[in-house]
Amino acid sequence: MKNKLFESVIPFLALLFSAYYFLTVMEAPWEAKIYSYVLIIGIMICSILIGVKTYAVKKGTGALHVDERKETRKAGRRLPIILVSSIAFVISIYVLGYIPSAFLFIFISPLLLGYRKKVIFVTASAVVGFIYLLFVQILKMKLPMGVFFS
Amino acid sequence: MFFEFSEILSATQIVLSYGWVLPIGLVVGIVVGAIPGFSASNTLMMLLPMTMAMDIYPALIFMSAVYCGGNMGDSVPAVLINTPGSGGSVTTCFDGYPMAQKGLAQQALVISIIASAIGGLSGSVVALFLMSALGKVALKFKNAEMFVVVLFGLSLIAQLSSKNLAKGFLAGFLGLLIGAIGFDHMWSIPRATFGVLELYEGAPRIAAMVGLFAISESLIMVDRLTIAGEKQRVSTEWSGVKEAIRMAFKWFWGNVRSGLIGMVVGVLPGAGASIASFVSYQQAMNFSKRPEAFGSGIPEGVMASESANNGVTGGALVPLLTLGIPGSATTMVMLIVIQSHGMPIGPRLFETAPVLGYSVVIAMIFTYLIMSFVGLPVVYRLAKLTLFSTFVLAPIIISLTMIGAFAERAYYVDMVIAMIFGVIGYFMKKTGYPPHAAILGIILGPMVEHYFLLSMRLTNNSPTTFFRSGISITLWVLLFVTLLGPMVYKKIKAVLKTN
Repeated sequence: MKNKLFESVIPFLALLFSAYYFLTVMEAPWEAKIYSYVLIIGIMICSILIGVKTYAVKKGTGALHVDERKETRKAGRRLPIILVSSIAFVISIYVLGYIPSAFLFIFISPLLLGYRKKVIFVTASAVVGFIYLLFVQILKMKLPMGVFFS
Repeated sequence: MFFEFSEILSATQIVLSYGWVLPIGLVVGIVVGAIPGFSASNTLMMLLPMTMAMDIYPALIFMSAVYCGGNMGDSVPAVLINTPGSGGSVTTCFDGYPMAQKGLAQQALVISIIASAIGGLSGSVVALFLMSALGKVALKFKNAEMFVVVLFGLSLIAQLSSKNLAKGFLAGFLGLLIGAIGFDHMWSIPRATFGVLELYEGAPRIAAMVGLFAISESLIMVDRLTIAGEKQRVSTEWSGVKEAIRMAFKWFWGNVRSGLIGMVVGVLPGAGASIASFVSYQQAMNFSKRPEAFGSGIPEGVMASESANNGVTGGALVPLLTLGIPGSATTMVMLIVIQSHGMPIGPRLFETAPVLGYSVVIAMIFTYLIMSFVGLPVVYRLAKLTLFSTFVLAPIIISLTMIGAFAERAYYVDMVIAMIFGVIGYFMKKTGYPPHAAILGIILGPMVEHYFLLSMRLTNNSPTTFFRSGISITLWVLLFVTLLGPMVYKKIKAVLKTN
């Protein structure tokens, strides 16, 4: 059951997005919606075919392709760690700015994942130093400063 | 003809006198091209104040070198971490990353440098001598013809989806629909913007690309300790480099063909490296004796993609120098520099300052000649990255790609969008939906709609507009031959074998 839910994520998201898109262009002139209507119909047909194939597999009348069987294996416990820390990184860019957030992210994430070598502090400093030198000093690019420091 | 040769000789002398600028620009281009989402065009825009203050010749020579280096450097992340450095190296991921997973990252990187050099050189040399003729041909490509050209690129979705057509097409359609976010082309009606102001301009392509590839791959790679696999031996010896060079030259004419495909596509304004590499990859697959091997990690796949990706650079200069129309974002920056120095643009450039026009192309030729010598020491040891701990690599990749996502439009929301696409890309990869099909749709979708609607509008909604000119009919025939030809050929071969 869990596997079927996992398999359904992309078709579900595609149909949800198609429904939302349809609602936003319903009242629009034909030039604004004809292209998207064709795509939405395509998404619906593909979703039906995928649903039929998945149902046929469930009933034992169909078979998954070899690659599909490999792809549905469970993710380890490291995925939630890297996912949550990445989301925290993006949020902290808004608060602290890019440079401090990047340093904290590159330093803390490997520790949370189980990397225990002391060189991680040097690595994080070197990477952030390289980013600062190349993008801020040489290319004069303005990286997000964050609400805290701006 | 004699007059042109003397101008070409003068231009060559000028480029050689500023020759020291070439390796600097090349290295800068390779380094920035290797950062996913951060392309040569971003770099040149940021260095615009510097190039505008320089003398026109060294400025344009430097920009040519950065352009070439960027188009070569974007293969590095494509091979090492399955993330295209820019749209032109999406197809490099198909075979480059599987090669890295087999411990052949060094080979893949060396092959991509040599293929880039051969493809770029062939495109630039042909562009140099056929510049004015190619410029006139480019003018004949109107909206209907461009629609068919973009369809060429989109048809790759079908070929990429051979393992599961429904999933491939769903990913492609979803990508096309995402590409249709924002103002529509006729009425400026906002579509599916989620109330986010920044999405009125459309879905950010770079954020989508780094999310679907780099961030999703980082989320997946932490399941393994290293990219190459714990028991995999990664070759970083000089003997591996020699073998890779030999392999690249064995496919020499294939690289030349792909480079010329890239050059021809580059001549068409707005077509770009993305379409060039898709078309070239598709053609290489169709002409190959083992098309089923494409996508499993074969050198021909890497070479077809990279040759075309660099062949584009020569072609993109043609509309810029002959018509004053920039063929890409990078050539647009070059145009600004030319104009700021008071030089004429368009057809008058070759009437009043022909040496300037030729010097840009010749700078490109020299850049490709030295590319292998400068690029090899820079990239060939990067294969060792596949042995680094993914626990450290993944956060570094995500941090760098966030810069790429931010650099396109300088909006914080693009970083959030990249993260969202990263999660979507993760689910796609885990459940067998090709993210390549989705990014194809996101990049090419807006062009398809734009050319389709303009063609219809300008001819009072007559669908026959797509079949009126000789060029469009030829392109349709080529498209059907490309799609159906291999299938028909296989069936005929099977029937003949049975008989």
